[in-house]
Amino acid sequence: MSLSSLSEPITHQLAHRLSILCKRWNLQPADITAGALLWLAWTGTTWLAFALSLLFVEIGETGEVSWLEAALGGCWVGVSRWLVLRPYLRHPTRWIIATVASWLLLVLLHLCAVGWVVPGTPNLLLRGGFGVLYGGYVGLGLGLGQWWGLRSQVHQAWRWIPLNAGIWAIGIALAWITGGWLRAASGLFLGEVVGLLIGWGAIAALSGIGIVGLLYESKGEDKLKRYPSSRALTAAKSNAPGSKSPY
Amino acid sequence: MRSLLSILIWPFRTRAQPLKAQQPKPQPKQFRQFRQSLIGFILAGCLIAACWLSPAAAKSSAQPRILNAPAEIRGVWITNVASGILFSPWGISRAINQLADLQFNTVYPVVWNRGKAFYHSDALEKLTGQAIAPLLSWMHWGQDPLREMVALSHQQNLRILPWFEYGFMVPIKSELAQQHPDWLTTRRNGSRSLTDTLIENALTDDTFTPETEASKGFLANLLNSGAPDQIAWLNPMHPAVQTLLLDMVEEVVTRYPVDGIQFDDHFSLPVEFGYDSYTLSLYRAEHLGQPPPDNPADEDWIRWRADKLSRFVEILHARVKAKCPTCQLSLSPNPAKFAYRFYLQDWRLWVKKGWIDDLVVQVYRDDIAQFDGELGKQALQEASDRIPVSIGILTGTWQRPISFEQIKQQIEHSRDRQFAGVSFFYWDTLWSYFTPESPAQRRQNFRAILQDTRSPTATKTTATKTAAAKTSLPQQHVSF
Repeated sequence: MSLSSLSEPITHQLAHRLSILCKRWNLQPADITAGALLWLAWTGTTWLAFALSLLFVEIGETGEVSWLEAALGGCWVGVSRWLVLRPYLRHPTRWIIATVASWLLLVLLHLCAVGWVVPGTPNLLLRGGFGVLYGGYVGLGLGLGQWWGLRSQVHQAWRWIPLNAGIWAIGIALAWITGGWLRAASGLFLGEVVGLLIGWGAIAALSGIGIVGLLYESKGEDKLKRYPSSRALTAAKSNAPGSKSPY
Repeated sequence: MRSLLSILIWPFRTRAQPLKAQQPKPQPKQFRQFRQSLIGFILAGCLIAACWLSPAAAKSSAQPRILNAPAEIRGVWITNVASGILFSPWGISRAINQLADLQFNTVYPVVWNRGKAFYHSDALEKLTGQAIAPLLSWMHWGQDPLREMVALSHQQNLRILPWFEYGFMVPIKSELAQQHPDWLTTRRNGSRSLTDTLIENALTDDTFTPETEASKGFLANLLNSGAPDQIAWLNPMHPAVQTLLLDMVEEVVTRYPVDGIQFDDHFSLPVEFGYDSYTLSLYRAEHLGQPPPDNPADEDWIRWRADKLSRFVEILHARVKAKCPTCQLSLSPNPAKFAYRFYLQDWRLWVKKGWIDDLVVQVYRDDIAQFDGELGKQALQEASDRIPVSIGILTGTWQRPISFEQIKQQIEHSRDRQFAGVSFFYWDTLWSYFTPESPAQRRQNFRAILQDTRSPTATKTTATKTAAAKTSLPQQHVSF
């Protein structure tokens, strides 16, 4: 019995189930491609932005990362995500203002460094618990701000708040547990850095699924529609026949 | 300023789009726009990071001057192996500023490693066609990193002694070894390679060098910055080899306002070597045509080769002093018995003759009893009566992380024995992700112990110190 003869019925079944789901959710192949591309861009950019933030933020234990470094790191990641989302948002400025404001709020609450710190305890159970708690707080704070940026465009945009909180709780807990285990195994603090890279990868991927799903359910007829920027519209109008614009 | 601002805001600019861009279908142009924005964003981030981390101070040049000998030597080796400091745009300034902030006062940056120079060397360029390690040159846009490091170090009141890490050692596949195989010395069986020798077996038993820890595999190779598989040894008796080393030393002490230079345990001849044709003919000429013993560990044969090396040290010292009278010739060997038996470095003699100005003995031991045993040896006490002797302490490698507790204990024991100071191997394991503790925690620990001014070494570092002072242990700790 060959491998293909074994896998063929499974893939058939899988494809069949997927096509049923696509019909139920009224998904077109173009939507799937656009969604996958957006997810890939969001996930890659978020993770890369975090990795690059390590050039100017030194990971440390709780209390060792300054609020300024963490705020810079947070805004850096926020802006990079905004670059990806911008064409898909009806009000992209709202999103970035909300994100930056959320980070500043997290600064005031001394929570802004959660993505760049690790707990001092080597106990993996405690690390997991702290990760869920602190990750949840950060996700909640960011979700609240970003909900304001999404609500005019997305049906039931409030769903982003618990979704984001859950994703951050899972991501940070994963980062701190993996990091603690790797640090204990290698004897190097580098293990914590790898743990955070893994955790941020999870946050990036899961939040990517969430945001694509929400944007797919955008209000109006367009799903995952790309909006032209205001400057593009102005330029386009100025090129229209009869325009007196010197541009 | 305006151009800087325009670079920073460039990623957020939106180029004018034609009206058809409003169509919902994704457009390649939009994708390009996003990609360009992303690249711009990353570049802007790197620019911010560079501005954030590199001080303007790095741009000014240092004047030649003489730094007073520090009360307690607190040195650090900076190498290119398993280290990014020399290869990141802001690595040097970040390292020097942090070291100064934490009360360090001496740096030993690598200038000679794996057959490549880490400064612009005309002597090496004539031989190999490469004046400086290519990757280093590329990362510094053709600028000289040693010049930057000297300027920054003096600005921060740090002594700088460029370190000829590889001494007579070269990778067998290096340009130098390939072009001049006659410069290499050989073992009894004719092999030019040090691999699988008696020496390495002895090393693992008796002492530790990071090279012996080199392991295989992609990750290991990456972290060891492509450590060479096979090591050869330049013949210290060969006139052309001596000329090359003297020329390189002269370049460093005359072109840069350094405080001295340093060689280490690789400025030696492993006991198994010395059976090359040049050395054999030299030996025969001095022994009525008799060949040297087949046993490389023969006492007289060791003595003869060690004396030849000592003669070169005398020449080297004279050359350094002739070209830069204020420059120190520093040596960082293994403990005396080991250094002589296995590397033919008779550094006790070198110290007695006054050819060495500063000694940093590598005491890389995990066991504190062994560490103490080395510190108590006669050779160290003898040397510290004549010149400043400091203790080389291993702060870890990526394969062998060392806790700060052990480092602290070794610093305290060295201080208790009234040595001139301590030097740490190496920068990247002082405080980084390659340590058991977090970088901030390690910095805090070093700050605390280096600000603990218990060191009465200033009185000890002069050659005029009397034997009576030596016997007055334990001495009282003095606060400065």
